[in-house]
Amino acid sequence: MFELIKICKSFGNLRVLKSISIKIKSGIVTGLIGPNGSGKTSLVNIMSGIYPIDSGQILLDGNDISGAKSYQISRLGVFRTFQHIRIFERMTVIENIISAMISHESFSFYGFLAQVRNPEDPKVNIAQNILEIMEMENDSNLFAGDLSLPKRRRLEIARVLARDPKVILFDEPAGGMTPKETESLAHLINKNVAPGRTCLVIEHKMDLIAKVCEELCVINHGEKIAQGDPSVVFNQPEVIEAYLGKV
Amino acid sequence: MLNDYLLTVISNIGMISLLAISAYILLITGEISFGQQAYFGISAYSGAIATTLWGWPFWVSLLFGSLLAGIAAGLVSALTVRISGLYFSISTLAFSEMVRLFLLKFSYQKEIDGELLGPNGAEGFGGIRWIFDNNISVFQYTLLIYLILFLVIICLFFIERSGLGMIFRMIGQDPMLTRVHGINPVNYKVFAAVLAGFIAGLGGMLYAHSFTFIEPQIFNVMLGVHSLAYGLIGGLGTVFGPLIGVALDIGLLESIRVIHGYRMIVFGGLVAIMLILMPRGILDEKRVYRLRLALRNWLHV
Repeated sequence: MFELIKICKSFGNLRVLKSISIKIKSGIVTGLIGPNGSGKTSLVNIMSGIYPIDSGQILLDGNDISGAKSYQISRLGVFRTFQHIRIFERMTVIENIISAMISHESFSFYGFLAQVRNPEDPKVNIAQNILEIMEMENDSNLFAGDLSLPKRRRLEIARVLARDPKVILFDEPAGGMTPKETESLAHLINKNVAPGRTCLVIEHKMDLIAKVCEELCVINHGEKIAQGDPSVVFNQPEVIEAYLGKV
Repeated sequence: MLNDYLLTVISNIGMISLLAISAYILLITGEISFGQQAYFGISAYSGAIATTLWGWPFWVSLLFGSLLAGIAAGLVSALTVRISGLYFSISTLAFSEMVRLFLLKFSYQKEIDGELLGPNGAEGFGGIRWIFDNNISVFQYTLLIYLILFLVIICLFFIERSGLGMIFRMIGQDPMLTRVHGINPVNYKVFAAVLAGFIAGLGGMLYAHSFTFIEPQIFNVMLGVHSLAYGLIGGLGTVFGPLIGVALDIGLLESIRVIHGYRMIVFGGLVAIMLILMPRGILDEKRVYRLRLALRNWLHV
């Protein structure tokens, strides 16, 4: 279980997160929604160790990981995607996927010099299977920088599958996608990504949230205003107020 | 038959290639160093002191000079590893100038066979006579340079195809994403700097014994700028990229007498044009990948 306890974070005078506490249940997909500027991405940046926290505590399966660096958190099995897609643009699609796997290994000297781009390497096989799941098998030799936006998003998810983490933090995975692409993404998350893993999904597209999330958490102005079953949360007056304004 | 002038040009290409490869290693990890000439110089001086003043064997001196250069590079890198971009470049420039200014003041002379030898500040360091003392011909020394260059290229070729090489390129393209992949770039950047310093050191030590005379002015910032430009022209997709840059500059511009005087103008223009047309050089990542696929298909047929 990923647990955030009384997290505070400010940038200068701007208080982005105000003593926010959230429990993210293991093994299910939790949605994180809130108006623009409510602190969603900051929360994910804190959970993945990219921003240090000002005060509070972060627990992963009961272990205190507050203050851990992003590479340390990543080694504990937490992986994330980015709202503004980050891929290694000057590597091919298959190299991008392999890059998520080489970092898995404990680095023995042999591991260092193991031929990652050798076609007989078992990692290439795994990467090719993942590409088939993502319906990208014809793109494996393309350079990631030449991919279209939806394919870049797919590549990010392919990397998640290659990494095989316990916890996945999605930051707007359907950003810039058409409704049809969003639907196939939802299908993919339900079928290949979510089972057996803990997921947190930040998203503005409610059709994706409705399709993949079993639990929903709403934040506004850096505070949690609701958490629970999506159908219940959507009907809470605070949530309606945050999205539609006061009547 | 090869005349001595041509051999000097060829051996020059080999030695400067080592410096260009050194700058290239840092370029692929995403940092622009204006200071690789410092490690070239450190090893040139210390290696030449070892053979000339202390009478050490050549190979031991070569290792000594290069290791010293590698250690210096590691120390500088440990101090600067947390800064990047322009700030990193400026600090490497500052360090290399510190080394050059130190060499301008550095005097360490000893009487060898009735002659005062050793570095003497701005007057330089002459009488590095290992080649003559051991009756090594220019041709033999050129072979020696290319043997070392060949070994360096083989090592880098394997590193580039290994997980380590992939991590270097990951850091070079997106350090934050690399951290998210569970990799701490700091260790790898220091390692890359030590490796780069060592390789520059190999070149510097060979350079001192090839020319038999060195002075601090050789190791000025223009040497560093050139070594950077070689990778940018030749390409950052493979270790052979910087070699193309060196061959173009030293093989064509510096050595053909007709255009020698215009070398800097032509070279500067070439860098500018390349940065616009081919920002990552002739052999950039894409072309290298296509060549590799073509080669693989050809070998399988």
